[in-house]
Amino acid sequence: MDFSEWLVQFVVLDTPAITRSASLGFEGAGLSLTDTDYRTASDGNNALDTDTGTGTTLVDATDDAVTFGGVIVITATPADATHTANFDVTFSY
Amino acid sequence: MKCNTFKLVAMTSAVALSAASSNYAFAQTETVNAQLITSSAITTTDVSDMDFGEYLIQFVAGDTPMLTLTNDGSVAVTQTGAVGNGSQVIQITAPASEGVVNVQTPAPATLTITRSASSDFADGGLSLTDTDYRTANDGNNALDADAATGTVTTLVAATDEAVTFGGIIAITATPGDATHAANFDVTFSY
Repeated sequence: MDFSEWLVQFVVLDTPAITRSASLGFEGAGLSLTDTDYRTASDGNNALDTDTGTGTTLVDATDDAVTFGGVIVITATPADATHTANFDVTFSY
Repeated sequence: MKCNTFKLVAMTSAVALSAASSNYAFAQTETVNAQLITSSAITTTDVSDMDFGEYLIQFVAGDTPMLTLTNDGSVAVTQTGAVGNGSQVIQITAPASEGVVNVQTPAPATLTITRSASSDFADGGLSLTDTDYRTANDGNNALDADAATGTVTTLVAATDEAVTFGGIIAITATPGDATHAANFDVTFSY
């Protein structure tokens, strides 16, 4: 019995899940962050609008970039200002 | 310990370790921020007046003399009406400037220009009857009366775009010798 291989198979260390939460939209009327996508070197482009996805780290102990883009829908003329929105992403096995 | 017993213990340990491992929850949270800066401010500057110059004007009934000021940068005024009955409209001093208002936006944009609050010459016999504006992109356009609208295109970000005004003064009587003034507002909006 190869015990170390059992650990690798069970933990699935290299494939964490990404979960979105705590979304906070633009406060100014007329702007909304309606769509969000993320991309990694291994996982391509994936929607993360309200749900979960997979992020694969490719190299041990090395940063793997998870890059986010999205869509701001404009439904009214916004005031001149810096408008912000945000959401949390949680990486878990 | 027999070989079979050893295998049983090993398997039991592996199962127990696997079950114990499932209790660990590895998770890390980061906040992704989105930022958008919006900037649409319209900046205007009154650069120069529609200066028609100085004239000797003697009106004769039945005529329709008019002074027409260009808006193409040539800064010229000509008498363009009918003076067959003997009206005299003679230039003494050439016009100094066409009317110019600069408008600027943070990025090239299309604006609406709207005329309002027109105040015609108070003196009888003079009336600013026609007004035209011109921009580099939008050509020549009439803006004759209050509530009249037109299009103004700013071509370069954060750079003054000149809106140049000319017009026509209709003469229907001999005015008193004076400096005669008229004006109107223009509002730029998206």
